[in-house]
Amino acid sequence: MKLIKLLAIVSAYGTIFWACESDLKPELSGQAALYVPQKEAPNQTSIPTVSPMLRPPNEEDRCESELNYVAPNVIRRLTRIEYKNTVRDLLGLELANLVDSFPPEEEVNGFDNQSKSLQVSALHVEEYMQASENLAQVVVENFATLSPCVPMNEQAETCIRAFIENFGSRAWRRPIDETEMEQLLSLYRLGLQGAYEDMAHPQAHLLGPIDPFTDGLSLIVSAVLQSPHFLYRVEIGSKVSESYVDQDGQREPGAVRDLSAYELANRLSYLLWRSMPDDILFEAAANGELNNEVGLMAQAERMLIDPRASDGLWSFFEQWLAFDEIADINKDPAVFPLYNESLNQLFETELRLFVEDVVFSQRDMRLLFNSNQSFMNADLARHYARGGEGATLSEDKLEESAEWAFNASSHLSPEELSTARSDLPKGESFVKIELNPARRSGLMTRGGVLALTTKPNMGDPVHRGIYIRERLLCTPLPPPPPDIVVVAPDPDPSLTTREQFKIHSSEPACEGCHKLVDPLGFGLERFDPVGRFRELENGQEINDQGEIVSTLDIDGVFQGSQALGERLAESEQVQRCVVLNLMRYAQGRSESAPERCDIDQLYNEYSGANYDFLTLLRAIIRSPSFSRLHFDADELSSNIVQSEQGE
Amino acid sequence: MSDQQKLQEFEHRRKRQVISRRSALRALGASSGLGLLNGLTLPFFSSLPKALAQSNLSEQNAPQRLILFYTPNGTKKELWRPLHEPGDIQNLGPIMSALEPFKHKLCLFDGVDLKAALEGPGGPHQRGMASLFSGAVITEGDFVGGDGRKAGWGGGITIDQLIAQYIGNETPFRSLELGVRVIENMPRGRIAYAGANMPLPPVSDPMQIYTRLFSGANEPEALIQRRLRRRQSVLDTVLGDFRRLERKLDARDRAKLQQHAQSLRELERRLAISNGQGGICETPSAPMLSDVMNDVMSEESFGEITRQQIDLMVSALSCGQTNVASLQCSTAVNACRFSFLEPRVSHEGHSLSHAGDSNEGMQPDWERNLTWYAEQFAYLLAKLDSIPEGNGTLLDNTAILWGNEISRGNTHDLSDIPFVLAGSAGGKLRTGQYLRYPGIAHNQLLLSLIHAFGIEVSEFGASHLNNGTLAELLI
Repeated sequence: MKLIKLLAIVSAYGTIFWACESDLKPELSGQAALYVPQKEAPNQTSIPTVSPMLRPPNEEDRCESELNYVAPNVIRRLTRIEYKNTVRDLLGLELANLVDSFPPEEEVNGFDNQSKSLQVSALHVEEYMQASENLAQVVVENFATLSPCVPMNEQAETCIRAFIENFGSRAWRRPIDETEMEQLLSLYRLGLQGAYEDMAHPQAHLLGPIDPFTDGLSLIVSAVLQSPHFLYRVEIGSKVSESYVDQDGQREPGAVRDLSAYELANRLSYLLWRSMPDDILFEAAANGELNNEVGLMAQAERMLIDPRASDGLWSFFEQWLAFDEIADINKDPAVFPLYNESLNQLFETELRLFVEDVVFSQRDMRLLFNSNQSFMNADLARHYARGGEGATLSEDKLEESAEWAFNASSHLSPEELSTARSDLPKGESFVKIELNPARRSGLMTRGGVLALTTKPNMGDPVHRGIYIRERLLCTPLPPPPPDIVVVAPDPDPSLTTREQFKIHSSEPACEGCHKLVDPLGFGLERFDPVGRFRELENGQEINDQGEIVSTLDIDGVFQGSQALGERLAESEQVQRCVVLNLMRYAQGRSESAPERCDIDQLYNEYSGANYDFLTLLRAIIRSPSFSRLHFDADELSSNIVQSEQGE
Repeated sequence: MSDQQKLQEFEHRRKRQVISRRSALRALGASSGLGLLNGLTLPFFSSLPKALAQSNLSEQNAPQRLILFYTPNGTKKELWRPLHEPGDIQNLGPIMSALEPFKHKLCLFDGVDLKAALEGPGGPHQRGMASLFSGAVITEGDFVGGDGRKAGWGGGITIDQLIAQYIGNETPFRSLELGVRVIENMPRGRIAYAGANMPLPPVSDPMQIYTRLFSGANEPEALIQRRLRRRQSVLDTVLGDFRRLERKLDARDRAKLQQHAQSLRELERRLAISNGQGGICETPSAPMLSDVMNDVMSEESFGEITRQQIDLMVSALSCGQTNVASLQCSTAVNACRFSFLEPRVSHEGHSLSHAGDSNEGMQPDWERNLTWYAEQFAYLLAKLDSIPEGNGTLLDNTAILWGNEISRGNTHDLSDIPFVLAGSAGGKLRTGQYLRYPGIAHNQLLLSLIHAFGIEVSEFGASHLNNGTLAELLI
């Protein structure tokens, strides 16, 4: 134990370098050394300025004339999650392992759906082929339930035609046209013909089951599912956008098109559900209901109530806030013997219920950063109540823990206290619970985030700080200065984490970068690496004073987690960062400079609604860029945009 | 001569002597209207600058092969270097001693820098990864880690993909990208690029690799033919969809779909010649799944997966499934503790690599990590060397380049990269040398390798960093 402690402390010194260029991962690395300047004075790392996208615009931005910009993007490929969900809704079947062997998405901005980066390699197309063949088999086996008709001999082709009409249109998420129908029918006939030839093959017995109809059918399904119309969200537009304003000649008027109703339906369903439109949405598209805002928003409201929306929005939150990495947290059992990986699932559930409560019930995103409400089951409550170093409660008195709000409140009668204690979660199911607001304030104080942002064997204020700075404040860190070497420090096991990291602020080479993050993390020093509240560290008193620097509006010294939560909750920069992240996720791309005014307008709607996340989401759906497309016509692309969608 | 003709001439010259079922299938593919070369070559090959002056057949009349091997976070060059001045390799450095049996088949380099990684946005690990096998400068993009400018993906094609365009035409797989615990799908997690901003994902699951390579190996010919015919019908229809759709899209979207269609044509080509085992190898048995490998991404399975991937890579090469492969042992900044090492290693590799030079607690563990990497490389060489081909071995007909995105973890130094070259690519490379250069751009090393494969392009990667080949290396 002593050895481990010693190493942990050695490694505590070293986070300087890595911290400056890291993306957070479940296991965060430690380092073992102190960096000092190699030559005389190193180039000081410049403090990053806050992006203009996070600032309120000023007069120079000329926002009254710069609205409604439609930024270019690249055609969006279905991600693994979207592929899986789409197949589920297409076939009405939940298929395990369907996309497990697909290459993972290249991640940009923390999201899996940033289309510019999404690749298609030889490996992708192989996997798409394999999956399409497996799914063809599923369709063959379930044809009776998927098809409106029975393929009798003479009418087989009529039945296939009806099947294509239905399956093909749904898979391609817009009506299939007659040319496409003919292509697929001729493929069917090829399959049929091949089957007859194979049946006559001298080695037919080696060829497995051959059936003309299913031979033809499976080819169709396989082709439909490997088609770009299935694998991509094809957007050609319906017509040149007339309402598009071109004030200063900077924007080519012809370069913006209105989406077709089906394309818009797809944008809506993949944003809210990460899946294909359902029949009602298809119908709305067909009836022209999506052509006006009322119809579009009516569909959006309907879809938001659907359980698919809760999964879909969780996908945004778990990527933005790295909750999807909680499942992979591991902690060193030699240091945290009471921790086991089943806690990860509980941490994740706690956060999901918390986020959903904030988004759908409380309707105030400030609470994400300062709420003391959470959700726990008995196991998770026990984990928190036990506490970290210096906790003095006995195992059978966990209801007396200062984790719970009722124990922290002085004006409860003994009866009220006893009722509250008996309401603590008893079993596996999660119940809402009020936490001690002096300790637990918003997501930065939830076990999942606290454990995610520390090392397997030790604390790590640097990474807690990076998490806040990159994910909540949208200000990425600069890379480390180039000319530094390492000198190993003398570890001192009598120090707290905070004292060990002091070196960062005393070395000019390190300070530039580390003053941006370390003091943020120091404010959370009362939480150990598995998320428990602790009174002591290495037997020492804990100092949880922190400082925020280089923000637009919340700079200054603060004391502890509650104060940090309050600062984050009141910050405009944090809320503008929410807008920016949701825009990136919704549009599948990074923001571009001409959008600053549009993003500001979204923020204004959002702040005007007391930071109701759903209001922001609706504002994005209503915004002109959501139903428009930037299209750079060239000599190769056809200029006729009407009637391309097979209507 | 057009590029097309050059390619065909090249193809003709490097015909393999082993006549296998593949040839028959290829003929079938051509006659069924697949248009193998037409569809395949134009988009990529029209951009290739130079013809091929040399035969690509090795002295043993076996094909030349290329392997890229990658380990992260730098090394300790003082323990890596041979224990003598440059010249013929005599005594390897302490962390490289596992390679002793192959020292005559190695080249070790001092003073080869990733100069391309000194330019562009991003952190050193990102820039190093992006330029390691491409010699190109990282692009600007959307990845955190830049100083004002954010990092993008690699800025050019990597050496394996370029060489595969020449020596990959007859094998079912033009190239194979294998990984071990590649959990970052970002610039720090990719070493192979089909072109600028076109990273290729490695497969970290040996079972998936095995299935790709060898499933259906023992199926009846008639069944293989039936499946092939049906797949071709489907792909023809799908490619028709791509063609019709591309016309309706703008240039950005069209480029994306063309990349996809290109991969589909590559798939067609592969299907037409796959399932042939080349007649010179035995289909390996499926990887054994031990308990720890239930999670191929776990720390515990790292060692085992590495071995499995090496085994599969060697099988793929010896069975004629591919002539080009890469094995990426995790990613830059991998947070992986080698928990399979005994006694227990204190920290994960990236932390260890950052330890101060006088840190007595961590440096020994970092050296054990580095020694382990060399042992895996030695294992790969031993496997390759155990397979006779012509008058030599598979190792002799292969060039294996082992690279690292930085040279030293605790300084992030991008100079003096610990490049190791093994095998002579069929007698085209002069091995057994320990070479010291005065800080040259690694583009010279990459270009030399390209030339060893008979591809006489005049430069590779960033133009301004090119300065010809390394004469000492080429025969």
